[in-house]
Amino acid sequence: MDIQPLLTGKPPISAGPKVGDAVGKSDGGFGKALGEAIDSLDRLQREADVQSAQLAAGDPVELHEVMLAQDQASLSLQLAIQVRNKLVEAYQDVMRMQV
Amino acid sequence: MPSLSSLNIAGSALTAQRLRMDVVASNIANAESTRTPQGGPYKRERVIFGPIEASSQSFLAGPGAEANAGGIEVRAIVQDQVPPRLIHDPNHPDADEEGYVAYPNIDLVTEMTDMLSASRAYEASITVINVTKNMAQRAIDIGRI
Repeated sequence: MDIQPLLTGKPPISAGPKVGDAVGKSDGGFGKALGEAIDSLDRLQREADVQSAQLAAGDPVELHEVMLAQDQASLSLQLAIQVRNKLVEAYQDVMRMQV
Repeated sequence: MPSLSSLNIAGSALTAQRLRMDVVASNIANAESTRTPQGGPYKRERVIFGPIEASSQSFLAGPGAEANAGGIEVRAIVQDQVPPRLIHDPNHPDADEEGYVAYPNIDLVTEMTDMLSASRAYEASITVINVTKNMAQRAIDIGRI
């Protein structure tokens, strides 16, 4: 009696195109943009912190540079919060759809 | 985060006017200095401003441009070549052979005018910053319910 192997040359299930790949490719642009936005937000916040610390320590840093850095950090944070709100709202709209 | 280049331009103006105030303060403080390390009386100093060369089309390129957006910088701090005031005072330690002491050529009225002008320019740049911040705030408020 010939016992044929079960998997005769058929590729295993895990090697096929994944659903995640397709989603990743179509969302790659947006995900990358979001990551960059968060990086720049983080950079601005850190820069504002560093300059405030320098001012408090008495280093020769321009007063208006410190205030401008804080302004930019605060504006970029508000922008990020608004973007997050819009995303959450869109997600909730989609979830509310009747099947 | 959109880089608001107006903020950087106005920031450079604030730095330049602050330097100008430093020079004015130095002039007023040294109005009676007759002995400098180089010999002779203190010479009045003044700042020379110049624009930071904005790279071409940086205004049209939009927020993606990393190029220099322009502004103002202090090119040089030069000494005024007006001759010093000569006061006749033979008993002064710094008097020359004829008994004249060379005092710095600093006129307090001119310095006060310069100071006022620097202060107004500083306030004008601060107004620019506030208006720019307001505009950015209004833009972010578009998305707010």
